[in-house]
Amino acid sequence: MRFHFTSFAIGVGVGVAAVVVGRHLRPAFVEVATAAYGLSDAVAARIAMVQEDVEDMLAEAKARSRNAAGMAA
Amino acid sequence: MERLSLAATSAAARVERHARRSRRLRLAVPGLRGSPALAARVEAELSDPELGVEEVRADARSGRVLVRYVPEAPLLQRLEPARDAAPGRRRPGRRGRRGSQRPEACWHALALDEVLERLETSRQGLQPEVAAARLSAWGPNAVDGVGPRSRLELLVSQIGNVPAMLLLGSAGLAASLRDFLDAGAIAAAVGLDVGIGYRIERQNEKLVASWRALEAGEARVIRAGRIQKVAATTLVPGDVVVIRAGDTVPADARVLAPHRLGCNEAVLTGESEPRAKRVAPVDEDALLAERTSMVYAGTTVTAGRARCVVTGIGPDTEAARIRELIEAEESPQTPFERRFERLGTQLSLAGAASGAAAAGIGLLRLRSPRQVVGNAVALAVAAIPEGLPVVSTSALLRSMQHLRERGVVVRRLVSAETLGGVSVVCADKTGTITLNDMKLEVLDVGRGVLEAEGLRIEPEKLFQDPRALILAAAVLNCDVTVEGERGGLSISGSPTEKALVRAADAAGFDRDALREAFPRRVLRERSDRAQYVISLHDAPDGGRLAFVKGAPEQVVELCDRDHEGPIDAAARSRLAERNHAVAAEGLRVLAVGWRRVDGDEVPTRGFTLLGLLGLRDPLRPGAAHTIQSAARAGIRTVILTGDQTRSAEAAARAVGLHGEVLEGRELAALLEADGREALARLRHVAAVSRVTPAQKAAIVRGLREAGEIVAMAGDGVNDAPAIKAADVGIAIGRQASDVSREAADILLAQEDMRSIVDAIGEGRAVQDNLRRAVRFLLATNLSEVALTLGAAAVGAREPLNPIRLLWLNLLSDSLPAIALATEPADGDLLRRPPAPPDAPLIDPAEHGRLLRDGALITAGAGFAHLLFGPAASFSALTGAQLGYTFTCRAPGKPPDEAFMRLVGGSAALHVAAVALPPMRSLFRLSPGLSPIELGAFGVGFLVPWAFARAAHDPVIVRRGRPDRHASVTRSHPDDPIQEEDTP
Repeated sequence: MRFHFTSFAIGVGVGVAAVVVGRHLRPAFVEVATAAYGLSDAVAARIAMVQEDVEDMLAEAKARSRNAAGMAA
Repeated sequence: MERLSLAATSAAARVERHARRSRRLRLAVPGLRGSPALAARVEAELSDPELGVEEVRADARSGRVLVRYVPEAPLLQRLEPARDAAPGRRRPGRRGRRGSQRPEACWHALALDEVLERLETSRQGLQPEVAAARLSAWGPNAVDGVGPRSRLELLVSQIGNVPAMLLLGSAGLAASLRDFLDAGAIAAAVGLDVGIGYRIERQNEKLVASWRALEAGEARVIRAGRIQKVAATTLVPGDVVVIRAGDTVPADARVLAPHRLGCNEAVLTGESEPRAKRVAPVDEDALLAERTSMVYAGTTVTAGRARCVVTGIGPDTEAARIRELIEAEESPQTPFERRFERLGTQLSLAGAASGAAAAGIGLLRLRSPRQVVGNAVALAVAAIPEGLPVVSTSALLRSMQHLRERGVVVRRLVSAETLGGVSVVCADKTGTITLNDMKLEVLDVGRGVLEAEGLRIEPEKLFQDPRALILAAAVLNCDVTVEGERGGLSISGSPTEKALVRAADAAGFDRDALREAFPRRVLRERSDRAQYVISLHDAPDGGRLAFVKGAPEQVVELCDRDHEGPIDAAARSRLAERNHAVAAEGLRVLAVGWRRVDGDEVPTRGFTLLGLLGLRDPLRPGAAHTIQSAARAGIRTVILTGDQTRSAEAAARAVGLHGEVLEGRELAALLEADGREALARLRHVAAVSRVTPAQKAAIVRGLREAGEIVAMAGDGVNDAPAIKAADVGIAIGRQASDVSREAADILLAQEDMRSIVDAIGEGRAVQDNLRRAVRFLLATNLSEVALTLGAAAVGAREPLNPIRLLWLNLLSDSLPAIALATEPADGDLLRRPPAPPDAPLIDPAEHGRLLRDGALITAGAGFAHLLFGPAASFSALTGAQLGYTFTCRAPGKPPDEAFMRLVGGSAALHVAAVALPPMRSLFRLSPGLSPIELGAFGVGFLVPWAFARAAHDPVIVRRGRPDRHASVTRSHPDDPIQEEDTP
C-alpha cells in the first residue's frame, strides 16, 4: 500500500483535534444527549397516553354494550 | 373541571376523563411523570377500600392515574368542582394586575370585621375542609420562581450576540460561495466559543443554585379552633396564622391580635428598623412601610407574637408584586453590544465598498463575470475580521475567570466588559453599605462620651456605677429572646435591643442573673405618640423599680432630675447639647432613666435620667474605602434606601458622600413633573431615602437616560427591579434574596463591596485590551484589503486568495489578537475616569494611525510581491502582521510568557503551513519552500518589532507619551468627581 501523506495528515489532524476540541465539546454533547433523553421520554409518554386513551375508549364501549344488553334483556 | 386533592402531593390532581358508565377516572397528577416513587405513593393512597376503589394504576411515563371504582364509591365525594369550592374562583386579591383595575380591597385600610367578612372567615380560622377546598381552587401559596436559566437559554445567549452572529454571517457567506472548507472552519470557531462560554456560564448557574435558600417552611395555623403546623405552601386566604419572634411571615396577612409585634421589613422596604404592628387600620394611601396593620410574606418577626388573617398568598403577595416589576423591567443593551453592533455595521459597509471597488476594477479590466463576483466576495470576506468574536470571547472569558477567583460570579459574559464603563454605582444602604446589625458605640452618663467598646463593669456595684446601671436598665427594659451560650448567642428582637444585650454581655453582665434579680412585672410598649418603653420590675430589696428607654426629647420630659440635680431650663439645654453631640456623629440616640416605685402602677413621670446611649448600624468593612476608591476612579456612588432620611444621610456622610439627600417621593414627583430638572439634581445627589422598589428602578433608568452607565448593588427583594434596570446588576452576598440574584448580572460571593471596585478594574482591563486587539485586527485586515485591491488595480497577480485570507484572519491574526486581548491589567486602571459610554471601540483620533500602520504593512508586502511574487508577499504580510502585535501592546511592560507563546505559536503555524506540501497546495502556492519566503517572513516580522521595541524603550521613547486609552474623557466634563468631595 502506498503512503498517502494527505490522508495521513488528515488522520493525525482529526485525532489531535478530537483530543483538543473534545473537552470543549463535552457540554454540547451533554446538551444533545439530554435533548435525546427528553425526546425519548416525550415519545414514551405520548405512546403511553395513546394506549391509555384507547383502553379508556374500549372500556367505555364495553360498558355501553353491556349496559345496552342488560336493558334489552 | 374537577380536581382531587391528594396527600401524596401538594398540587391537586386534575380529572382528565371521568367515564361514569365504565366507572373509570383518569387523573393527571402534577409531578408524576418520571417519578415512580410518587406513582407508588399515589397508588398506596388511593388503594383504600374505604374509598370504594377497585383498581389504581399510576403510570410514571404518562403522568396519569387510572382509578376504577365501585358504584356509589365514597371517592366521588372527594372530587371537587373548583367553581363551588370557595367564595368565588378569583383569589381575593388586593388589587388588579399592575394597577390596571381599581383596587378590590385595601386590606390595610379596612376595619377588621370587614376584612373577616370579605375573606369569609372568623377569628377562629377556617375549617379544614374549607381550607382544602380553597387550596384546591386557588392553588398553593408559592410564587413561580424565575428559576435558573435553562440550558437552551444559556446556549442561545452564547450564539445570540453580535460577535458570534458576525462570524456565522461570514460562514454563511463562505458557504454561499460553495467554499465549505472555509465555512466549516468558521463554524468550528463559533462552536468552540459557544462551548467554552456555555460551560463557564453553566458552572456559574450551578454555583448560584447552590446558594438558593430553601424557601418552603412551616406555618402555625388555627384550623377547627386548634393550632396546627402545616406546610406554608398550603395556606389559603382566610387562614388565621400564629407568628412569633424569629418567624418568617408565610403570607401577606392582616394583624388580628398582636402582642408587642415587631417586624423587620427591610427585605421589602429597605428600612432597617423594625416596625411595630397594630390592629388599627391605616390610611388607604399609606406606603408599604407605613402599613402597620399588615404583615408581609418574606419579612421576619423581630419581637412579640400575633394572630393574623391571611389576605394574600403566592402571586397576590407584595413580594410577588415586586417580581412583577422585575418582569416588566427589561435588561438594557450593554455598551459592549452597542459598540460591536456599530463596528459590525461599519465593517459590513467597508466590506461592501471593497467588494464594489474590486468588482469595478475587474469590470474595467474586462474579466469574466464569475471572476469579478468571486473577487468581490473574497474581498468582502477579507474586510471582516473573522477572528474578532474568538478574540472578544477569549478576553471576556479570561476576565470572568479572574473575577471568579476573587469571588465575583459573572452570569452574563458581556457584563464583564460593561463593568469597565460604569460611571455611577447605586447601592442599597441596609445590608450593602451597612451591616444591618446595630452596635452600641458610645454612652454618656454625664461625664463625657465614653466608648462602649472595651467597657468593663462590676455587676455587684450596679447602683454605685452609673455605666453599669444604664446598661442594666437598658437590657432589663428590652424584650428579646436569647438562646445559646456566650459566644454562640442567637438573639431575636429589634436590632437596637439586640445591640444593647450584646453590649451588656460584653461588659460583663450575667443576663440571666440580672433578670432573676429584677423580674419584670409590666412592659409598656412604645406607641406613635410615646416613643419610649417603660418597664416595671421587682427589686432585690423588695421594692419596685421602673426603667424608661426611648427618644431623648421625650424621655427627658419624663425625668425631673439627673446625676447633677433637678432638671431645670439650663439643664435641659445642656442635655439637648449632649444629645446633639452624639447624634451629630450619625448615631441613633436613646435616653435611659429610672426611678423607685411604690405599688403596681406604671409611672409616667418623676424619673431620674441615667444618660444617653449612641448606637450605629456599622458600615461594612471596606465600604467607605470602596466608595472613595470608586470616586478616585471617576465613579459616583448614590445610596438608595427605604430607610429614613436621617439614617440615609448619616450613612452617606460616614462613607464620605457629601451631596444632597432627597426623599424618594420628592424625586419621583420631580421625575414625573420635569425629567430634566430631576436628572440635573440626580447629578448632585448622595442618597435617596424612603425610596420604593419602583422608584429605585426609575432612578436607575433616569441616570441611564442622563448618559451614565449604572451599576446597581443590592441584596433585598426591594432592590431587584433596579438591579434588572441597571446596565450591570450586582447581587451582594450569599444571603442576597433569590429574587435579586435572579435579576443580577453579577453576584458577589462575599458581602464585601470592595469586590465591586476590583470588578470594575477588571472590566476596564477588558476594555483596554479589546481596544488594542481591535486596533490590531483592523490594521491587519486593512493591509489585506489594500494589498488585494492594489494588486487588482495594477493588474498584478493575485497575492491573496480567499483561503490565504481566511488562514490569516482565523489563525495567523487571531492568536496574536488573543494575546493582546488577554494581557495583564495596567496598574493605573482605577486612577482614571471611565471611558464615555458612547466611546467607539477605536478612538477617532486613532483612525489616522490605523491607516498609516495598515499602509506600512501593505507597502512591505507589496514590495515583496513586486520583487519575488505572491508566495513571498504572503509570508512578508504574515510576518509584518505578527511583528505589528508588539506595536499594539500596552506600553511600559515587557511581554509576558503567555503573550510570547501565542505570537510564537502563530509564527510556527505559518512556517509549518508554507513548509508542508499539502498546505502549499491548499494555499495554491508553487511546490517547494523557497528561502526567499522565509527571509520575507523574517524581515516582515523584524521591522515592526524593532519599531515597537524602540517605541517602548524608555531611553528612546519620548517622555510623557501616555497610552491613548488613558486619555479618554468623561462624557460630561462638568460632572463633579467625588474625590473632591470626600474628606
